[in-house]
Amino acid sequence: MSETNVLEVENLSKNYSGHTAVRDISFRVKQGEIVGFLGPNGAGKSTTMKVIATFQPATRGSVRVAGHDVFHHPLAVQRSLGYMPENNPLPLEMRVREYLAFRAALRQLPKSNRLDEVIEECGLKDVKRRIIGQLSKGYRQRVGLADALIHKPKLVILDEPTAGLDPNQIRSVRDLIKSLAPKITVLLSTHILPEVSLTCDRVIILNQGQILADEPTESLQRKFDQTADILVELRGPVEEMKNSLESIDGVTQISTQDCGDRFTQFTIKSTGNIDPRADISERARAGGWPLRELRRKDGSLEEIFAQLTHTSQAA
Amino acid sequence: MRTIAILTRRELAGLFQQLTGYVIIASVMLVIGLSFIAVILAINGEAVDSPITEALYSTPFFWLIVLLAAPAITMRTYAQERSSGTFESLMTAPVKSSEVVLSKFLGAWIFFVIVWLPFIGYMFALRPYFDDPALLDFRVVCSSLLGISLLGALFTAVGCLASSLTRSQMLAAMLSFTLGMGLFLQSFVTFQLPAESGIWSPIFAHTSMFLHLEDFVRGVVDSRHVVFYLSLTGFFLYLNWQAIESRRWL
Repeated sequence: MSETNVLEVENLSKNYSGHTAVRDISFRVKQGEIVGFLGPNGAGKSTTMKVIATFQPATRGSVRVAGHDVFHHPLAVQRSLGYMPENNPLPLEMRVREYLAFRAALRQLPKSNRLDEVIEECGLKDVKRRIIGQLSKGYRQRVGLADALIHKPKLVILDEPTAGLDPNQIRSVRDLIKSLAPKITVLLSTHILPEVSLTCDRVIILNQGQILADEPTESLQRKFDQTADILVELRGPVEEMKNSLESIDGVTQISTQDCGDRFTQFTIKSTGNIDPRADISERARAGGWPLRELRRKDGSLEEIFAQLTHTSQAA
Repeated sequence: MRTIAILTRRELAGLFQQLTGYVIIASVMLVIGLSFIAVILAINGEAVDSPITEALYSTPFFWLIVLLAAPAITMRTYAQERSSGTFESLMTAPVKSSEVVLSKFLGAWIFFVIVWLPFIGYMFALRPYFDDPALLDFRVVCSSLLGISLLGALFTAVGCLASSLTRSQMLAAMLSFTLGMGLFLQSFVTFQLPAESGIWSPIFAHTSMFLHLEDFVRGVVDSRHVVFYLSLTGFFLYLNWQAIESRRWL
């Protein structure tokens, strides 16, 4: 085992009474990485996380957290792991500090100021005496995070940490997660795509229990950028402009839409490694057509995902 | 050990933090009060020749409490945690399932005993009215309470098992009530069997909840009865433990 791998998943499969939730997946997570688990509902994200968190055993394959096997040494794994399950379940009748103190005691942490430290870190200072059931969802999420972080685990697993939060709350949770690196390794799941590109160093895309892609966020983004649609808005004779644009090297398909104010919007598909944007602007200048917009469409990961799932279904 | 202490405290605190706990305490106090009245009416003006605890034990209210309180106390133990999802955070903390099973049982059982404490008060409220102090001996009250606690341990273990099998508290309560009722009703079988039924008669007599409790309320602490209750409690706790562990091999 390599020293730097905090999490090693090998050939993991999980069946539920005949139905296969996760099919033979393998991946590793290095110390200090923030890895995003991305996939539609039912892709096997939560199942994989439950297996890693020792809540359920794997049907086949092995998982090691910080070198400990999850099935054979669950206690060792549980000590080095912080886990926030899906929907962040909390005892609603308890008070924030009381709950965190209970969880710290359960983890046999020595009495120290760590409890207040984590309350401070997670921005819970103002609500620490309040009853969890009366807190807003954003605060509850922080309580769940504080619980996962209280023992300074080597690996934190967060199952949909931002589900159901408003944009401000999402941003603050995201900042909190980012502030953990590089001390703490994070594996988080989400089906919200922009979140991954904003938070994670690496993305693992899951669909129907299988890994579709496992790449650094940047390279996945770059890969997509090369194939992303280009959006152009020009004013001029539609047919003439279209013919001119079509003759550009690398352009494969053009669709047009009338903007209503004499401008026409072109959506251009191009092949892989050629960027036709410079040529487009050149043509517009040459034709004397006013150009008011020229950009890559940023559907970003959403489009990658659509592409990946589409190709896997076709295959 | 420390983990068990922490979890047991949490279980008990949970019962006192939710309304259910107080509803149970209030209902049990009401029924104990009713049985107290029934006892007073029964012995009023009559010559009493057996300990007063035995009179209390023979009122139907006594069994009503045992049969209803245990399911009400234990129904939430696992079912609530499962349905709210907190079971997942509990089981992924560094705790053994045996520790969880033991502490949930202990928490519920201690609560069961607490709920019975007014019983002692009632007994001593009666004391000044008895000519013969032997009829209301402190030691007899203690042995009765010990018997009730042991019986309670058994019914609590049954309730915990029922709760560990489902996500629905209602279903857990019904299941543990049915199991408890089964144990209770089979105690009558021995009285119904004809004398010549051979081996069955002693078997049912030995497993009768009544006959085992009878000695306690008379002030006799017989180790056979203690072993009977403890071994059955242990058996149901073992099943409970296996039910919790089953998620690891299912």
